[in-house]
Amino acid sequence: MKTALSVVLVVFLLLAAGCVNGDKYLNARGVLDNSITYSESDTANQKHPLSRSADLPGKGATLQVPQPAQVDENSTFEIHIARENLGNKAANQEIAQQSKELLKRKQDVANALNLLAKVVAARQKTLQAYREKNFGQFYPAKDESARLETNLLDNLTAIWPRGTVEYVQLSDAYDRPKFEKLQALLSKQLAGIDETNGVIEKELDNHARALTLEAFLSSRDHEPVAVHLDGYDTLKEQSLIRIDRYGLDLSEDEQKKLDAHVQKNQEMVVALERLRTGEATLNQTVQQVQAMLAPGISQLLDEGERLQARLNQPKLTERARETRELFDAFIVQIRMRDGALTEGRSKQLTDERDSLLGTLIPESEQVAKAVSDCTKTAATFKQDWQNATPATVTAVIRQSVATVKSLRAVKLPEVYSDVEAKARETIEGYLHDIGAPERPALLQSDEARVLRSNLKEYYADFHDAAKLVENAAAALSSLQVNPVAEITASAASFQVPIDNIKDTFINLEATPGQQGDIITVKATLKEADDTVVDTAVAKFAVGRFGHYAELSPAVVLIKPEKLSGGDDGFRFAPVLSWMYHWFPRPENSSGAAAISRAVDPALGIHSAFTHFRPDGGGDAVQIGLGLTLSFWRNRLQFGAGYNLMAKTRSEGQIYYFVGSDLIGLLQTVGIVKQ
Amino acid sequence: MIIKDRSDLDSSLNDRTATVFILLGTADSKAGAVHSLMDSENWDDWELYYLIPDANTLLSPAELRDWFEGKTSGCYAVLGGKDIPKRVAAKGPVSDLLGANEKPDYFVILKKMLKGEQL
Repeated sequence: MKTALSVVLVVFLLLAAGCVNGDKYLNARGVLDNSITYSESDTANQKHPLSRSADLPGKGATLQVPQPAQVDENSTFEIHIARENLGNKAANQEIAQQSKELLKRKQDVANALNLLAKVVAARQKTLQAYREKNFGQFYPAKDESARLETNLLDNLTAIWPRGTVEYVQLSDAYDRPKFEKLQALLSKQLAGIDETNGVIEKELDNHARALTLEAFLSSRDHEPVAVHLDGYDTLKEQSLIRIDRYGLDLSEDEQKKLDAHVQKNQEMVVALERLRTGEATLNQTVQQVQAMLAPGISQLLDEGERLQARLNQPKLTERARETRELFDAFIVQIRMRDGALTEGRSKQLTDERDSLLGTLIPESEQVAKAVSDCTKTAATFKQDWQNATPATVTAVIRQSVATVKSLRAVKLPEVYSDVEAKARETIEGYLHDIGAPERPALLQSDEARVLRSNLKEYYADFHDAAKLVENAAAALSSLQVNPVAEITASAASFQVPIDNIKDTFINLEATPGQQGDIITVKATLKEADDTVVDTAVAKFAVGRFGHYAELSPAVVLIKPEKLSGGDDGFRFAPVLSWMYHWFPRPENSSGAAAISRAVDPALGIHSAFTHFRPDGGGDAVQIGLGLTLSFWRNRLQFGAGYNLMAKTRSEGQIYYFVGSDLIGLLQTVGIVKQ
Repeated sequence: MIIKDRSDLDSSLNDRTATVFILLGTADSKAGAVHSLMDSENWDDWELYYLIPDANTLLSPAELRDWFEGKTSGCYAVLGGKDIPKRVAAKGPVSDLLGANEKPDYFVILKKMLKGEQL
């Protein structure tokens, strides 16, 4: 009864855990949130909505924004923008009304001008008939002329009704029989309307909004990088980075990671085996494992100490003196070669020397301080890490996060990648006033060469120090994913006027993202004067859904079924399994999906590397093949297999193991860098 | 033209081409103001206008009745058409020819004249 109850309880807990699919949503806050929707096209070209709507009490249906929604690493997700929602409706309506009225007025005035031309023509005809006493033509012409002029008057008084100032002006300008003043007045009115229309168009421009859309990929070990969004930036789309969903066709990078993973597993097995067999103490083993897991910190310390040896205060004073002397020797050389050098120019050379040293020396001191701080930080971290216990490890990691922030705030002088070129440029700049004939010889002189080499050392130190700080930040930042607030606008993005807005997409296969990375899409709506109207941020976590397989190296405790004349107990061994997974999509809410999501089971085949030998036997590696069952993304592995090197069951032909993808686990908690 | 005898008026009324705008009233009346405004504007040779201060003397009772509904001042009539006698195109009180400020309205006057021309 108790057992049955326990099983029910476990299944219930698994189902409950599996129902948490990892998707998070926030209710739309503004116009942008309500105007942008996301959907995903998976490898089978099936669409999955990533935005969703919810009924809120008192608010009705409201869109919800992914924060983050999960997307498959082989998919493309589309960004749909309802641009009709983004304009300044109130202002635009008012302006549109003004524009409509103005257009009507323009049409009326243009009609009046046309009518006036007809009146003038008809009157000329009437006058001519009258003068010629051609009454047969006169009567109908007079009738037509009067009719047209009446229409003209009706037209004009409709535009400028009685009682208005314009009506009076119009009366004054109505200059029969030539109508020149009237024509001028109407033409002026048309020009005025055009001018007003220009103002309205400008006003429309003032209300023209633009959208900036940016996407960033945040990885655990890297600074956020901008991701191309077609039509919204000038970034180049990356070439396709196809991820083999069956884990066998590995890219060069993936192969390197796997090799490193396997290598670390083997090292760990050796260390753990030494502990198991009593060849090493627990402390020795822990230190060995810790040193293995944090080699980057040791390298940092070495580099920091090397730079500190060059950048301490006595050394800097000595270097400043040496540089000054080299400058003086160069000045002597300049004086010798340039006979036309005036006394004023000669003094100027000395002043420029002092000015250059006045910059280089304080900058060197600044660099020295940064190097010292950075080395101390690395040393402290190494010490803390070596002394860390399972209880304090999270505190150490938290401390690393704070340290990285302080390292990123370190101010360094400008760094040049080509220090040789920078040194040459400094010397050439120093000779800017020297005559062209003397300059090449001076630049090739021994004095210039030695001085250039001396200056190069400063720039090289600046460069190395910047690299040290950068590496220290990278080494300690394994847990960090930069928050959106720290993401600055990509210089490559541009503002797209609302009329030109179109839907866009992110192809994850052309994005250098990995599982666990976060894609952040940031939209900013601005007025023409750059005032921000609204912003929206949506996030997407890159994962794997559906069927996929992967290679999984693991450290296991392996045991032969029987081993005559030897230890048939558990021992450490490396195992490489090819595990087949099915992970449900977030929207799948079935019971099977919930269990699968909760325990992430996988089944696969493995090869194990062991050495089941009787006491006194050799150390030759034996290879076994078998089946592996894993849970929680290969973190816990069980397996059984057949030792190909053993001839009988008593030689350890059948074996079992239980183990863990230990390195993967440590990477997950940020202790081992990938 | 302010007329005191019928010679010009008769000549105009017998001219098949003419459109005749007649105002009844003295020079210092509203009709006089309309007449003054008409004086200041350009008119075609066939567009004629007259101010008659003493209608009783100058116009026959039939003319007064047909054109002015028996009134002898403060009204106007526009006669047009190529047939003789001419027909009334528009008639009414002089106030119809004034604007909101009680001043003669050129466009209103012109439209009445044009109405006569279309007969």
